[in-house]
Amino acid sequence: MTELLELAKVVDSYKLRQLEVLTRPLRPGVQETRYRIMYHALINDQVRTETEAAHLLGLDAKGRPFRRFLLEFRRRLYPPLLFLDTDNSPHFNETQKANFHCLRRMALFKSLLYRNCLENARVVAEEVVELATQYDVTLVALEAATFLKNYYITQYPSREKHFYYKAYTEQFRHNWTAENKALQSLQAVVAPAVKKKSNQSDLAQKARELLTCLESYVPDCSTILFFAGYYGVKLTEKMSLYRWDKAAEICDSALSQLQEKPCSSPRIIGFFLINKATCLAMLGKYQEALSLNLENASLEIEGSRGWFATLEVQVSVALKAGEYALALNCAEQVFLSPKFSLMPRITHETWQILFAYIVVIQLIGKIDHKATQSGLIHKFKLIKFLNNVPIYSKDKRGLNISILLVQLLFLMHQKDYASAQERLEALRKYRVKYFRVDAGNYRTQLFLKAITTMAGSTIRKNKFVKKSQPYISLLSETPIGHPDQHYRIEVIPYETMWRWIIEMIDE
Amino acid sequence: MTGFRELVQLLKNYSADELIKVFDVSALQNLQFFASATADERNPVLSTTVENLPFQTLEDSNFSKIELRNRLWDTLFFLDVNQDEFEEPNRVAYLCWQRLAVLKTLMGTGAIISLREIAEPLLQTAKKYELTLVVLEAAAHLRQFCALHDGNMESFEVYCRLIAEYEDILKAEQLAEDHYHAFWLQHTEPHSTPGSMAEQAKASVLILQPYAANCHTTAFTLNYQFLQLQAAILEAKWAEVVQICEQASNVLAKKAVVNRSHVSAFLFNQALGLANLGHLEQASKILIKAIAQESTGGINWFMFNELQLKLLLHQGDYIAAWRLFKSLCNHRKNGTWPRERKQVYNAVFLFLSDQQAIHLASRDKGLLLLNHMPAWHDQIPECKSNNLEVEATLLLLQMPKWIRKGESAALTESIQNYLNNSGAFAPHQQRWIALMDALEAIQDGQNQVAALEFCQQKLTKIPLDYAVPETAPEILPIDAILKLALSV
Repeated sequence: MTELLELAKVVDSYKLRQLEVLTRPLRPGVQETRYRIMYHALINDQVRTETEAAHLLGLDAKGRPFRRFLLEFRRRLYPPLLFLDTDNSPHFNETQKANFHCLRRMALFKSLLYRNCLENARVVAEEVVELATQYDVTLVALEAATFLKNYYITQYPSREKHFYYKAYTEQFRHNWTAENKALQSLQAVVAPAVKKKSNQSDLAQKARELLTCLESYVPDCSTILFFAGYYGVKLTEKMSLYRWDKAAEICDSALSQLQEKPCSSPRIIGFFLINKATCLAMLGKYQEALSLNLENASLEIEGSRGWFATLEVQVSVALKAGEYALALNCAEQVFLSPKFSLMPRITHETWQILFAYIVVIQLIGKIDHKATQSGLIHKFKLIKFLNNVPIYSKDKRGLNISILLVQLLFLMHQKDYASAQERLEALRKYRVKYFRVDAGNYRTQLFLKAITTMAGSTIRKNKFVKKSQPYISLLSETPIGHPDQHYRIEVIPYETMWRWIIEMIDE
Repeated sequence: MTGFRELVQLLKNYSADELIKVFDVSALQNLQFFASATADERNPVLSTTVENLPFQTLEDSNFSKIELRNRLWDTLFFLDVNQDEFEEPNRVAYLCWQRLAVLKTLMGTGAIISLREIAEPLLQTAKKYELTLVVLEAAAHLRQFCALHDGNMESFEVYCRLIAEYEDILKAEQLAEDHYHAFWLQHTEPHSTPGSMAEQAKASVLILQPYAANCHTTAFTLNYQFLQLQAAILEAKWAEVVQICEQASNVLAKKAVVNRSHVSAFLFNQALGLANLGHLEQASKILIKAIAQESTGGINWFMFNELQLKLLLHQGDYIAAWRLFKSLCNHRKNGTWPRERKQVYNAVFLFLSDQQAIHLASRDKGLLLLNHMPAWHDQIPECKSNNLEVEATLLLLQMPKWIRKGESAALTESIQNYLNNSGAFAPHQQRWIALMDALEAIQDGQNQVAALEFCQQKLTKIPLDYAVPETAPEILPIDAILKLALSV
């Protein structure tokens, strides 16, 4: 009863007009608030720009009243976000649902504290601390346990309960610190590779140093987030050394540790699955990689970051495996997704590069015409593509190679040999400038040497085959997973690309 | 509008409105009925009110108590926080935590654009209001965003440094809180003594001292200064108490945003310290500042005003005390003031009026009589109470009358009972023992006036300690009561 009384007094002391739920349907014949009108206009796609929104309300888009309206509107959108119906969504597993529930409870708990409803706050905290512990929602567990620890000293003194929650609090504090350190370490080794795919051996060194620090947390912390960070750093260390077999083993260890837990995070499991698929592809196990990735894709929410990442790997593997129709299909899903525009600039560039290769493949007739119904391929323009990849164009020892090679493929396909010659000459200088013999990227260096044999003279098929053959022979002796190059650089196996170039040259 | 579209789509995709079950207008009216019916906890119909609630008029016919509670909880999210009268830091703290929950929900659903729109202002607000854990969480999200979304190493490093800085702050805050709790636990130990508690507080202060140089957040400062204060109070070092409180108030006053109740707590203790040093007038002035910091009509506000009443009475300024008492009685929120506390002051002023120490208008005196506690004329004290302190005050006020009646032995017995039952510490019983000595002397046939005058002289050498519960009954000091009795 005390709890209900406490609540009733709080709710009773506010006027009815102060309660507004935007998401409720509009009521016919009732003059609704501007916020509800705007909400429903956005839902029904009647408003897409600020000008349209301002027009709907009869306001000036640049005026202060409209700015104030937007601020307040955003503020009013937040409370309903805590009521997302995640329970009935197939996109979320039990752990994720528990996570959302815990977050909502945490907001409620803080709300109760603020309204001085301590009894209700205790009820919520005691309920949520168990759930949050079970599902590794460390922050919520920490906050609830800290409150209860205080409560059983200052409000309702009980040594037994105080010490019970004190022990919990100490464990959660430790977990929280460990998670934060692990995630920071992971981000520290992943961030430098976001814009640059060139040689990353320094990252391996950094990863090793960070792992030394993280090892101390391993015996006492086994939360999902900690595992994600810890194994993520281990994985990055091996990936940046291009040790695909070792990296795949780490993915297996991480997955088995995560699967042993009663709770699981599909996003984190997905992270290791994607990387494992990449490793398998680099070890030449294309079909295994494709089926593993396909399984993972079905777990991701369409339009989520994980979904885009899974499809990216799927396309990469498909292009290497010669499954071009599959690659096109995946790329179309991505480009037609309304969420694609919300993805970071760097994701757009990655997809632009992959798509450019798909276009070349279609142009040389390697994809069935029936598979290209979306019309995306026909909208592709080489100049536009080159302008759309400013970040990776600066990645000279990394993805810029992929950009230059696809550009060459286009020119060769268009029989624009003059421009192709210019590109080849530039590639020759590029190779000398950016690639030392001992600086890794062995396959790329060989391929560049092979194709630049055409530079400076008339392009003739026989001459090119004869001159480039020794390099291609060496290339064939070196597996695609040769441990000195980022997996994204060689979009199409160079041997295949060499054959295409030969096909493109007139007799 | 991209961010708005993202949020709205999220709400649409997961049909949030289906889950939001706040009370509709008619339901809320029923709730108001419910709240007003149960507003007074002494209401005899309380136990049956819930059973009698007109649930059939609510949206669901099978409306259970759990459902009622859940709906009330949900409703809390939709109350306008700008309309209420809570203190700014509390309101902001609540909003920040709510935003953090939203932020993490967005993270879980992959709404990246909105995530950044929330995280940046959240971080700034949390820094301003010293919400350390919120700062850390918001910064961690932004760090992740910079690292994985933008690959922006410069911003990533900035957030890493910020997080490292706040991790140290959090560590200091948590350590201070742990020591504060340990002190409270010691307080509840059966074998703890003021000496052992003071030692513990001092040991904690020593451990926390290295952190004090770098951590200036309110959460740390409060616990750290509190422990310093407790050590000084327990060792009765009142000059030190005043100094610590001044220092703490100054630190808090420098904050951009401060919780006024924290400031008032230190001002209150400063007043106590000054009172124990005998500077009652100065203590009164400081107490006025403390009262101004408290929310009017709250429990603490009445408690501080009670001390003010006491200080005025102890200074002999009965007129000012009477004015203050009247204003408290007429305050619109006087329901917060415990009825018994009000009545005990009522008894004090009635006593002063009877002793001609204060001349009240007949209307005022009539009101005092009306509000007086029910009496049992053949008992000592005449007015019974379940509260030992109140009973002891009443006992002191009736002392002159019963001495005159020759009931010194019964008075001594009652005082002894009070001391036994209250568990008063021996060092703080001195003033009561002096009084009992005088009563025993009277009982043994000594001249009443001489015995009481001798007691008065003794009492002047035993100053009142305003910080211990043993002196709480002395709303009018024993010596002042004796003086009035002798003058009659």
